This record gives sequence, structure tokens and C-alpha cells, in this order.
Amino acid sequence: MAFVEKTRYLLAPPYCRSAETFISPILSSPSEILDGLRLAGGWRFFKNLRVLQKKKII
Amino acid sequence: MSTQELLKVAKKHSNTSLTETEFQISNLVNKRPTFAKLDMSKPNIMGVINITPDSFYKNSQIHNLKKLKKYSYEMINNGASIIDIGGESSRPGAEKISRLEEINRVIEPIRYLKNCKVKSLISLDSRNLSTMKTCYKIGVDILNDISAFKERSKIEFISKTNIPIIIMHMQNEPTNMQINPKYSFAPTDIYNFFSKKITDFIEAGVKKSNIVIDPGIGFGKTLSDNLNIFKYLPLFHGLGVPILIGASRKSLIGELTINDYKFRGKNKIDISPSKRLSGSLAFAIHANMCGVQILRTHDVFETNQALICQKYLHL
Repeated sequence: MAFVEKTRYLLAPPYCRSAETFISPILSSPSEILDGLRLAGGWRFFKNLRVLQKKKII
Repeated sequence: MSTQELLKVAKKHSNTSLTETEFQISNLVNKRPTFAKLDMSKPNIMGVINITPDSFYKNSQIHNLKKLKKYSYEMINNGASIIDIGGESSRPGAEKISRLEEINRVIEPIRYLKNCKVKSLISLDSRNLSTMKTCYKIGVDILNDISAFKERSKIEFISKTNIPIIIMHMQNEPTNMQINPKYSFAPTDIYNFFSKKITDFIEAGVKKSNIVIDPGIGFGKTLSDNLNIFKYLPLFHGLGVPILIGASRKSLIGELTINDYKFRGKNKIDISPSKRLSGSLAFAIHANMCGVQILRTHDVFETNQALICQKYLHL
């Protein structure tokens, strides 16, 4: 099974039929990200995502 | 890429793509409800107590109630909000023991701690339904199953009792789990495993707020699989439930140490579990930086101290 990691451009549209998509937040402290999103209502923040895509075997 | 960029790409593709992307991002962001009345917006420590003669780390083995009380109170005073009690070793190669033997090992310690009214939750580390049922009757607060409650009867019991659970991923059984474990890519394979499990549990009537997942460091994984799980830990927040990590004193710390010594041409090094505290703390700090809500450890004082210092460094 092919495995591709892209941080800027995607292998396929997210959550499309031909590829599985997984998103992993790139975490920081609130002082490093001023307008970031709070992870799970907790103590870490993120703005950017690492997107992982795997070709589906159809 | 940024969350905004991803949403834009999804919107351009299709409504389904946009809906799923929004759902995944909301899973990352949504505040987790309390788990067994514990606040999941801060890190929690789970202390390990083994009522076994053969667990991999001898210092965690407790054989009498006096020592159990002393050890538990120390853990609670040092910051543990959960005490995890197990009566069967799950180290690689460990043989299953009889249900009766396991019940006999854990029932008195759990009953004793409940009678002492300890200020922490008690979780049972077991894969036997009869042990779970017996301990539930005497007031155990959480069930922690390394076999991920795979039997239908367990799911029915959890759904009926509404007891909070920790589901762990393990490939095969402790007796054979380290014999050639195989994944396409461990973090995403394990993510899919949990995604299906959570759906099954919810369909069976289990509340999502009663579920915590544990990727099972060292349970049917190679060194590379374990390191990939740590590298991609934030991925698991996409499941929308709290995460537990237990790397305390595990063999990957020994393996990494040996590899480094070999690389430097040194061969003799003691890497037994008693020599793995610093590595355990390094992994605990990394997990905390990945927003992991529960850290399972043999060393509550040291782990708590590391988290306190890290907090004041504003990491």
C-alpha cells in the first residue's frame, strides 16, 4: 500500500474515495501561536496540520 | 498546511469532503468532557501497581496490604489521580493465568483501597470479564483492558454498567505479540482500529465520554512502530476522545540506549527496567507536549515533577 506524506500539497482531495486522509495537528504553546486553535480544550494549540494520505485499494 | 487551506481544498472538491474535514477539525478542537469525573483539559497521572510475581518491573510488584497502602498513598500525594491495579502480567511472553487466580490477587487490594477511601480513582487492569464483574461490584472506577474489550459480552457489560473504560491496541497476545509484528504504517493502522472500535462501542450504547484510548506502546510493535506512534501522537486526537500513553520503563528505552552504545562501540550496558527512568520521563514530556491527557507511570513523583517544571517553562 502506498504511503505519502505531504505538508503543502495533497495527493488527493481530503476524504475523497480514492485516498484515506488523516490529519495530525502541529502543536505549540499559546505564546508561539497567537491566533491558533486550542487542542481538545486543553493546554496545547495548533494552526497548521500535517496531512497524511494513503491510496485506497479499490 | 493550515486548517484554513485544508478547508478551502475540501470545499473546492465536494460537500462530503468539506463535511468530513470540518468534522475531523472539530474532533481536534472540541473540549473533552470529564472522564470518570477527571478533568481532561489538564494532564493526569496514572500510577501502576502490579499484584503479580512476574511483572517486568520488579519495583511495581506489591505483595502485602501494608506495602500497598504506603505505596498508594505515596502515589496519590505525589499527584496520581488514578491507581491502576493489575493481577496478570502482560509483559512479552507472559502466559495467561486462571481467572480465579487473577481475582484472588486483585480483589483484596482493591477492596482494601476502597475501604481506605483513597482520594484517587481505582482502575482495574484486566482482560477477563469475570474479574471485571467482580471488581465492579466492589466499586472499581475504571476498566483498563489490553485486549480492547474485543468480546461482545464485555461490550454488553460496559454498556449496561456505564463504567468508564480504557481501550488499548495490541497486535496478537502477550505470549506472541513481539514475534514479527506487522503494520502498513502503525499510527494510521492503529487510528483506524480505534475509529472502528469507538463506533462499535457507541452503537452498543457506550457513551463516548466514557472512552479513553491507549495506542499500546510495546504491545505487538517494533521499535520503529513505537517511535512512529510517538512521532504522530497528535493524530489520535482526531478520534475525539482522551488519550493515555504508557511508556514507563518499557523495553524501547532499553533498545534505544543499546543502539546508541553500540554505535559508539561500547557493548556492556545495564538497560534493565530499573535503569530506564530518564527515558520514561523523556517520553512522558513528549506525550505531554502532544496534549496526551493521561500518563501511565511507575514513577509518579518523578513524572509529576517533570510536568511541573515543563509547565513553568511554558512549553
